[in-house]
Amino acid sequence: MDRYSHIKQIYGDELFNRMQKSKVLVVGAGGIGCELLKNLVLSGYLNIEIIDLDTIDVSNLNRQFLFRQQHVGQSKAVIAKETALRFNPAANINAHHGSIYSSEFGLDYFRQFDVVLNALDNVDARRHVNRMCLATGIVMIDGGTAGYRGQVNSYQKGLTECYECATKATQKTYAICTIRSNPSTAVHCIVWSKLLFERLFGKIDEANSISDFEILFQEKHKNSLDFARKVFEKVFVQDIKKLTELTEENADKKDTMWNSGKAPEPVPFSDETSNTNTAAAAATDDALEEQRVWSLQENISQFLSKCAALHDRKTSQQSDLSFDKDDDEALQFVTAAANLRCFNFHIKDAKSIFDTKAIAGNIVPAIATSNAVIAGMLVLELTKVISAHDSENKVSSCRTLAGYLQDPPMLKRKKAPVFAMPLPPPNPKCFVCSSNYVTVTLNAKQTKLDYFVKRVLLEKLGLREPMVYLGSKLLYEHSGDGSDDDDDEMAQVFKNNLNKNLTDLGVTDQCVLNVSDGAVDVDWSVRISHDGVLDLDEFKFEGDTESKVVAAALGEDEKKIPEEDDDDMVVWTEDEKRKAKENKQKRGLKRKRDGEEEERQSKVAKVDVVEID
Amino acid sequence: MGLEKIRAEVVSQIIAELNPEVQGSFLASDPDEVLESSPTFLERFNFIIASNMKPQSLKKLAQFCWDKDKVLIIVRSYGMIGYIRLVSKSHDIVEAKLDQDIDDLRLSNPWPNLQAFSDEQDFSKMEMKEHSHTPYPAILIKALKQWREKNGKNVPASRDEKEAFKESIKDLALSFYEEENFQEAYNKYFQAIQPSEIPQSVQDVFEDELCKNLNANSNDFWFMAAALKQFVANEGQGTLPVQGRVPDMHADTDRYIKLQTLYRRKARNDVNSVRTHLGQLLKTHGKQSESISDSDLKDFCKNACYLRALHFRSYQDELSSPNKSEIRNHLMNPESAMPHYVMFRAADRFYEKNNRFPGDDNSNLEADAAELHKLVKDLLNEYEVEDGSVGDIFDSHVKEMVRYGACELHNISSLIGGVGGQELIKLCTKQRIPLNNTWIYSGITSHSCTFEA
Repeated sequence: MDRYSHIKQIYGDELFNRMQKSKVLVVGAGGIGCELLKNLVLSGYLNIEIIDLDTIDVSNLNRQFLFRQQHVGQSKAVIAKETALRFNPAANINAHHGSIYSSEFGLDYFRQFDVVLNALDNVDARRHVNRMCLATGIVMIDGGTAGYRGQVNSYQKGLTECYECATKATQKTYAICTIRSNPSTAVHCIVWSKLLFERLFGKIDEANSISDFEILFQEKHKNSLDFARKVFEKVFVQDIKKLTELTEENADKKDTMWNSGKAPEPVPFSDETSNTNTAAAAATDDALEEQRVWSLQENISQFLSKCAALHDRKTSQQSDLSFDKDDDEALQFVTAAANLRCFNFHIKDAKSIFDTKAIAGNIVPAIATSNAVIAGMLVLELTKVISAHDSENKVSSCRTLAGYLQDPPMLKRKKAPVFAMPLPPPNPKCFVCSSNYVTVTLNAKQTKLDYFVKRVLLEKLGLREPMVYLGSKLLYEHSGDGSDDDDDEMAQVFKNNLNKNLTDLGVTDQCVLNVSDGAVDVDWSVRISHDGVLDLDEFKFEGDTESKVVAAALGEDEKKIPEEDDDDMVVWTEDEKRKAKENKQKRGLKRKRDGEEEERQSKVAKVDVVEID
Repeated sequence: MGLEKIRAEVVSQIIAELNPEVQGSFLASDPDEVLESSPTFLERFNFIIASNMKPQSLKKLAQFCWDKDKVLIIVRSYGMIGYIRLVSKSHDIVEAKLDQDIDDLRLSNPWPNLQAFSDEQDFSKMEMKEHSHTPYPAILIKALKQWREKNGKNVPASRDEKEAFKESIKDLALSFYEEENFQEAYNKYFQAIQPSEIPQSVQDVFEDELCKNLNANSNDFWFMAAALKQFVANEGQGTLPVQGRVPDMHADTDRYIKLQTLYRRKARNDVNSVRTHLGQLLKTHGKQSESISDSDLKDFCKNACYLRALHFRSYQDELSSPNKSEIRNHLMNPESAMPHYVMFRAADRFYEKNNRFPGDDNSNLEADAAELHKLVKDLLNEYEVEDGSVGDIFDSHVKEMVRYGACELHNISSLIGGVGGQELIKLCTKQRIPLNNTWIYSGITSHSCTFEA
């Protein structure tokens, strides 16, 4: 009797040998990663590499069961490996404490694996792995949970949908009325506080109407602390007074109309309170300190000092900030502002830095049981892929596996905690998997966008009027003869961008740029690989340009998306091509409209929620 | 680490290691013996999980749990298939936490203050800005009032009437395509023509014997349910208390808050009425009126439309009088995991006869398969499944079952354990709806089915 006797009895020796020989990459050693690694080594998968950037936090211990108290602060990947080896010392695990975006995990690295398993907690990293797997043709199996829900999906290039074929729903909304004028919970205040952050330090978004800062922004300030005080006076005193006046007329309802049962109250403010800065800001690095709720005094001084610091940062960087829960100053600002707003509205539930981080970072609680289910499914799908005899189609027996773990009320036939659905086919209009993929190695710190557009996009790829996107941000758009007045402003931005280095535009090592060209109707994904040794006028090119360049040059020809299966050849008709072009134009129009749109009285503020663990 | 040691001991040690707050203990005994000689050990627990227990012992344990009113969770991981069965005599749920909230805004039967709020909105005197920020419930109430005056009926019923009603909302707008609040009203027109009905699950609670026959030992849920029932029959005039929640909508702050205040006040008044009934009921049964807190009652009323009471069938009943029609219906669906339920039952009978599961002794696979096949046939007869109606699907299931030989796969156990854990949490917290009462999972098709066995 050996430790694998059960597995061999069920799977048979042949499959079991394949499992033992296969090589698997696990991305992420968090909640799912721990369960997964345990299942893998116990199931007889012996060649495993695991990558995770994170170190172990106390809050991980409730479900990431490969870690113990004494491991806090150490690398997740390394400790996960050590603990998993105790389950099966025969396993050969290679742990990397590093970022999946790092250049050491390039295409050649990916090519050594039979399957890549995602146990990630964010969409961006999934997208990155998706693109690496598409570029190398490796099967990717992705698992994710959000609270009591979870899903497992298998992806193989050309046969199934890719991770980015369908847009992922990631947003939850609150009524802006509640947020702006009548909060009743600390969460409302934190949402407001994040909006305040974006309004003060982020890029201008006309939909963000939490307070009117036009006058304040135009005034001259003695220094950044002066700015901070004016903001304070505006949002915690003046705006609140205005709100109470609004209801003065119907005095009998004065209190009942407020969610908290009492009319809001301005934060008392004097120069004394604002001068306690140094005393309160001192002790903040202790982990326990993170869990303490600040006093009103502390909130005031934290707000002023962080607001001033962020204002300085924005001015010196000359760029917009965006909220990041791991940015201490930003988090302290949001915590203090939310707590002051709680005071305004008599919400007796002020939050510590720690709690605010969880709420502001939109972390849906990760639940151990869901992770166990999903990790079990991941290994099941992995085993199906490994058992596939058809090397062209390894996912033929895979399914989309979903776990609702609660009666799904609408799905009568599938009324069960877990169920399977067929894998969807590729979306022929997907920006990522239907487009051409190349890697360009250059010195991103010194290469200007202008050079990239002219030499790589126009000459090498044969494009005519490229639009260059980094994520959803448009870096460059070809502007015809420049006669369109509306576009002048944007055209100027693009012109400036051309003279900037790629890194200054946020294009760093392993970034993927999406390039589309309405004129020749072709989309490209261009992965940038930075090499500091390269000269200014040098770049290396990896990937197949031939067929697509021909298609691009012909332009009017029907574009064919190659499929493994001849029966399923997808052909774009003229009609579809026209629609795609129209959509692209509409995108451009929408962007313009968004900029011009007037502030509307009521709108639903969007707050990104679901993060998947 | 731990070879040749007592399994219960090692498991309890390692599990406790995961959370220092957990008190772990173990008893290294045969469950049969514990039931026979020291059942008091089991009486300490509220929830008992039976994982991969042998069939005879499981029956005894199930009987014990039923008699002592313990919640039993049966979990099995068997080759590529899994099984979960929950047993609880009575399980009540206040927070069902459905994926979709039930919003009942009383638009088809507004109380006087809400009607007055709608009447106050004089569209003829409004500028565009005010007009386009009138909350949609007020629009719908107004539109319905007009429709009633014109048609002399209560609510639009036929398709044409509904269409006409829908279009009448457009006519109220100054510029329908610019006014998002009117579009909102248009899209949610059904909220105005839907009568405020009491969901079947809540009616079932009212008709439950435990609700009709309160006694001093009844728990808080049933006291509150009985009080709620009286409210519905009296002040509520056939409706549940107003929830007090107002959804997101396009509206200016002032009127949104007014609307919110209306709903909250009504909700508060309704809770107070329920409180009065509750006080009476508690008194009648010799209990203190404060024994149920205001906040509990408030939560109860807020969740009134989600209330549920489940009564699980006992495991003994399942074995002695199986739910034949459910089994047959599922067997008709080729994707159903139901054949595996039959396989579990057959394997258990095999065990009871041979004191081992089929296939766990490699020497006589074929003999085991033949015997198992016969047991399956008997079961299908008992379930009154017509000969030939399920084809020969069981031939392969029998082979698979014998091949599994009651082996456990780590990843299948991980999955089944995860779902079992989830169900335990639902039962413990009385939140969400636990599966009633059996779940069968197949790792081959990745399909699963729940049914009341």
